[in-house]
Amino acid sequence: MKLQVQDLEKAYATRKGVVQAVCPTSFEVGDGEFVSLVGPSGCGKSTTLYMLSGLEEVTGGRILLDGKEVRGPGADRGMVFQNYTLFPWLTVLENVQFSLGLKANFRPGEQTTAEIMRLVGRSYFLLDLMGLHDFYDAYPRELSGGMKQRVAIARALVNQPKILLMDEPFGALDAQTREEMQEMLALLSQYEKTTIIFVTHDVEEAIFLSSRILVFSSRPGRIISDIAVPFGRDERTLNLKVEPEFMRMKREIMTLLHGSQNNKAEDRKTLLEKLVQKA
Amino acid sequence: MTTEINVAPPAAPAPPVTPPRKVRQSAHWFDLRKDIPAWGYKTLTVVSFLALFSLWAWLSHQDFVNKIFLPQPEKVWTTFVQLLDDDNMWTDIKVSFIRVTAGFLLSAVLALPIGLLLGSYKIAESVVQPLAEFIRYVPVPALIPMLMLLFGIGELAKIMLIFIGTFFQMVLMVADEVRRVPYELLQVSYTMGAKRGEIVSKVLLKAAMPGIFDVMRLCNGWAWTYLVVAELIAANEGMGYRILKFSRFLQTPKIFVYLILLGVIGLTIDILLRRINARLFQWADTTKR
Repeated sequence: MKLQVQDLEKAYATRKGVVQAVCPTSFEVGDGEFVSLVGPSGCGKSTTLYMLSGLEEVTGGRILLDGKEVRGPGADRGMVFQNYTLFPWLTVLENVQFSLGLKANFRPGEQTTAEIMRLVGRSYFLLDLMGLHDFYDAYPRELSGGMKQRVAIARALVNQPKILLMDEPFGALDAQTREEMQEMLALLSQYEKTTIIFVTHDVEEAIFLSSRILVFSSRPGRIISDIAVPFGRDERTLNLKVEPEFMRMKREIMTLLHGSQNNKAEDRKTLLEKLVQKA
Repeated sequence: MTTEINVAPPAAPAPPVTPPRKVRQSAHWFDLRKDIPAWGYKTLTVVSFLALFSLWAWLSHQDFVNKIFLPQPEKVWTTFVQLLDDDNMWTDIKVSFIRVTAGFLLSAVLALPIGLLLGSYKIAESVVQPLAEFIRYVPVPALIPMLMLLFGIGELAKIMLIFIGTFFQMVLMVADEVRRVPYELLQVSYTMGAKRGEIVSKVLLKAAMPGIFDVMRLCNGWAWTYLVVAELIAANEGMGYRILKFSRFLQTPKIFVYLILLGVIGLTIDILLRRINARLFQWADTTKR
């Protein structure tokens, strides 16, 4: 598996003129990599991810998956969203098996029964791996936020997409659940060796999970740094977060991020001082 | 320097459900959208019916009220008992029920697929929606001459009138329910490899179904309100026709019996449909606030 992004660009035509959301951006993602996109809010990291998924139209450049240009969404690129996207009328198991019943993935002529049975078995395996074996028949409204996201991840993985795209999947969860989910995802990616592109604004989360981090500048977004994370996949336990090397890296990336925002903070400070003096 | 962190010994975990005991719970009678106790809800409902009944009973015994226009409850009751032996009443109920239900079902069968398309594809919306909005404003009784020309003066014309009265509203409301399905559900389906047709049938329809069912329940009520209008067309039986006939002879007690019967029939169907909805769509969060 190889993902090549060449001069990918997003621009919107508005009444005031053309707004550049993402500057022409190029990068490559190799097999089994876990790449995080971090950057200040509004920098276009989510837009980039949506363009990779095919849900957002590309206004310039191209995306190649295994050398073939991709247009529009497809089952080869699974996605997990920030909001809960489980189908409320299906049980947990039915949600995970939803994609198996779609024409694009279920081809009785071409697929052998054994192949289909393997995918069905995989749906159980993934749910068990996520600690959801007691919830096969539960409806989404009966689940907590963290459980919903775990089901969503299982659902995206069941068909073995070439790449998994995750858009701040833990953004809506509380701090403790978030850490549990991070640990679980680290374990899962070690097991499954899925190639993952992960969007987050949480630097700690990015370092903890990824093998590589792409740092975006503020709008219009472009990649200002491409950082390899030196920790091995088996080192990803919560203890890692307090290691000096981890903290050093976090500081480094935060400096990078704030560098592109420092001026704004200065402006705000002087404005505030002026206002205080007036009052 | 080291910091001591004291760790409390683990306590035995409390079981999630304990035997019943008195738990202090305050009632929220005036909180926005919060549930009030079930007994309170039922009592207040009964009280409201009783209040209306008392007002009627009291007014009908006053001298300034003409008994021809407002019959006394006891008179209505004796009339009802008399009518029970009258075969006409049972035929009226049967005939009217069949007319309304036939018109309503025809609406539902057509409005469901058309509304689904309207809510899914903007191109369908642009073709049908403005047209439906236009027809929706035409008063249904004004269509009677046209209907008689097209469908004659038999059962079909009456059923078609009820159909026209409900269909256009229903299509628009079904389409609205389909549009209310979160866009994220469509997006996630695309990323699993679903095609547009599959999303319409496997996602949009399924997700909108509880709402659509509720639309049907509301429209069934509207279908009944068109009954009198429908039975203006050369009818010689049916509840609407009979009310018109009673009013010609100023038989107000009989009119009241029929009005109350209509209310009771409507309420019964409504409660029944609500129950079926809750049973069919247990997955939906019914605690709407």
